[in-house]
Amino acid sequence: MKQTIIEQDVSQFACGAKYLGAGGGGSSNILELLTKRAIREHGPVQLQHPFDVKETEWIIPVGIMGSTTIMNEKIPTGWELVEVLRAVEKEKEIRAGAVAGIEIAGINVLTPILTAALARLPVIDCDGMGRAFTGIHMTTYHAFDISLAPLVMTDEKRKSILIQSDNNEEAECIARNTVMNMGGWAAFACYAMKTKHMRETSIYHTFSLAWRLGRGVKKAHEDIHQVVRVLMEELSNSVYGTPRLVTKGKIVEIYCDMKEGQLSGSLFLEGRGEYTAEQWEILFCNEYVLCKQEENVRVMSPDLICVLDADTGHPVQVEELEKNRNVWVLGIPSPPLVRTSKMLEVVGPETYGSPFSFLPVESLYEQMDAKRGVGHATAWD
Amino acid sequence: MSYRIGIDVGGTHTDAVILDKNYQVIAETKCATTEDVSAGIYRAMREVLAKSGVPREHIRFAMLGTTHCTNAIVERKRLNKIAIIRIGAPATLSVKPLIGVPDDLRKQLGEHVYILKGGHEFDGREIMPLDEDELIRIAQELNGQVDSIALTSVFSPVSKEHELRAAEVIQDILGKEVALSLSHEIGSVGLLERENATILNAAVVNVAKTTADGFVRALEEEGIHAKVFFGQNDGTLMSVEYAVKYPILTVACGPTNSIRGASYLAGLSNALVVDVGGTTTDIGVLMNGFPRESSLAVEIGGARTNFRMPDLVSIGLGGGTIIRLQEDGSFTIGPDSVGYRLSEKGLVFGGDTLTTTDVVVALGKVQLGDPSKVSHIERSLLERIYKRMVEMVEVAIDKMKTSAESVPVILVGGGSILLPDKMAGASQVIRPEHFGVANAIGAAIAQISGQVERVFSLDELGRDKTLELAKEIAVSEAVAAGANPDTVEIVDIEDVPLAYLPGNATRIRVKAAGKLDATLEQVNH
Repeated sequence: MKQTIIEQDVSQFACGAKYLGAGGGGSSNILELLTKRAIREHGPVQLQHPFDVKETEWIIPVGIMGSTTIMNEKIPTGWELVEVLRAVEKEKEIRAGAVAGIEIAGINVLTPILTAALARLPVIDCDGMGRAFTGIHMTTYHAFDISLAPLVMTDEKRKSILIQSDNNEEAECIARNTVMNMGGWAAFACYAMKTKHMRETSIYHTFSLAWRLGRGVKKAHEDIHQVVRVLMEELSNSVYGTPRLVTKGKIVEIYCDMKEGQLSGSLFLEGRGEYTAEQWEILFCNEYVLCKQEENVRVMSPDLICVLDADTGHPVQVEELEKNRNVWVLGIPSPPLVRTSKMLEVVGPETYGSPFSFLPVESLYEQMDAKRGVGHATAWD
Repeated sequence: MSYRIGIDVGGTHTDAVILDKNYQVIAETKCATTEDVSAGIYRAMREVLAKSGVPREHIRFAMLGTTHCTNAIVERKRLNKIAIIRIGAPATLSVKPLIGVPDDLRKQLGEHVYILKGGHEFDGREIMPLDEDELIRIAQELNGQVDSIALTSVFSPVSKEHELRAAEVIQDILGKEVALSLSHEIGSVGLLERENATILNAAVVNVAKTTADGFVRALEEEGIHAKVFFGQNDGTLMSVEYAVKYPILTVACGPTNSIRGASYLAGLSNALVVDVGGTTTDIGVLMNGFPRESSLAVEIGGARTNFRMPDLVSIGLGGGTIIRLQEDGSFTIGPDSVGYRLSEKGLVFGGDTLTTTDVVVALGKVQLGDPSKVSHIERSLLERIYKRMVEMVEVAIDKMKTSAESVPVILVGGGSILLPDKMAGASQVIRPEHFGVANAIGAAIAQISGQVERVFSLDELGRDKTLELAKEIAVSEAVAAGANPDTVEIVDIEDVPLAYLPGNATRIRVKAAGKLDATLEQVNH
């Protein structure tokens, strides 16, 4: 396991976490600059296993919510994150022994590291989503009844807002509406809990996985075959499990709209190579939600749908979608904690208006292989 | 009759054309690009004038697509002494200007850097009032130190108020002698990239001024009193007056000119353009008369900007590409080329190197040089090589085209004789006249455009009305820049809703373009 995070590791974390974003999470350029600078000026950050921290210590997850497009214009300083951490400590009259992740994708793989560097605390190697999700209630912390509140949000002027609510979904809703008024993004801290609870409710080793993915992908030099090989190897050796190569194709149409403040729509793929003549559709709602070949669902949320640019092996986010791109699509099994029933209530396909109930990507493919009479299909080429 | 002259500077050749009022080609020429770019431009201009025999006083417009500014940035030479002022504190303080820019460039440009309070939110609200006292102090400090200043304020593409006010304050103290580059005139949302572009712009205003003055003077020496325009990277024109203020927009106009020229010559506005040179083949997509743009950030001289460039795929196949035969009957194509030395190195010209051109001559597809010099090569081998060459282009065509259906392909560039009249993925293959100077023609016929790119909140007006508003802004910008209102059309619309934000904030980009206003021609009579 990776134990000390130095400046050179930052790009690895950022790069690897993009593959866990399922199309969401936003661009992390600015956070990379901020995190590198923080480590350069304040020293390396310790990454600790949840069992390396004393059971009675308090751990506070942190992140930034809102639009990364706006963040690329109105750039945070990084200290907003320390501000929210301290505010939650003050509210609960505790002292944090470490920070943890809320989501292990996009910018929010770096926000805990940045906070840790500035506040001189360790980061715990775990998070509450195992990917990107739209709402801060869509976490395993929530699924195991940890209270989101007190939730503190802060903007670049260090204007803070405290949200207290027994209802996690309500707290998320208030926070989401507050982001607009705060100018498009806000640093936040919530789900303060003791190590004991963190051990029970979090997805382990996602930071070190992101780092390993990043390290492998950087060595793959934009060769998609190598990138996919790295993903297969590293994810098979993790709480996720072996990804499936779902299809290869060209994006021929994108329908995109704002629905209740969500970037929703679908993209259509025309199969290429050995998938020629196949028609695919991927539905998205800030992240990729459902992937189907005609009427047959192949991957569904919370399993991760990973769309890769065929030329570079880079993951393609929903905000970056454009017609004519050649892509490969992978289905990555989500970690077991994310597939529990209370979690599926907030991230399962039904929450996105789909008539289907969640079935793991592995079972969907087993069914399909059985139908086709294939014994063991080769997972990928 | 009125005429126009179009000149485009490429890596190896500087091409010039003269067109009449109806865009018919009267004369064309190709000269070697000189190290001092201006000399090549002047030579090409004089040559094409001499060839055309057109009376000098009838030349009303001169359009120039040049590489002066790019070269100055890449070589770090002749750059202005600049100051960088960012308006945005307390946000942005941790990421200083010029971050990620190569050290040598940062050293030259980063001597006077300031960040002061001010800026706007994405919806146009003021984050903080502009700190004018600080600005006055800075301006006094800079007096006599710099000749050009880059001003960037947070969300200036949404509200340019603070940049405009800051410019006034600075000019009151430093006078008009100091050039001011305002970021909202240059780039879109994305502070660091827009700031970089603004800084580079501030650094090349002198180079642009010298280039423009030199070109105007060279024209006048020839007795031409034309209205002068510079080509921009989006395939449209800007007046010489605007170009000396915002020269960075001239960077990389070459590929665009070539695609636009091909479009005009073939009379198509939707097609693939295959430009075969001596060393490479560039394939671009023509959509509604303009090149499809790439969404990737473009680096200029190592500095990341948010300029949009044509989406091109480049493959190592040109008229001079070297073919190597192996003992076992296999072969390799390129990627190296004999380049402009084809006429001495190629087998059919008596040289010692087997090139792609030799292959097409040996197969009898093209009459060139001495075919007997290649008659010894086995025909089945030649056919295999030729098949592979065509496949290379076909693979690239497949990569670039929009749908599974076949599309028209326009062949331009001197090396396009290599390619056949039928290719997979091409519904038809068009070889227009004057295909060798498509880029200069593209420069000559370029249109005038206006553009808007902002984050709009759709809550106020709704989507349709907001789009209408954006279109109106783009059209009025185009007309203001000198386009004939009757010819202005919307050529590109993009609206991207921002994820993770309620309130329907959407980034909208609209571009409108039209022909040069004919009244301008009369003014110049």
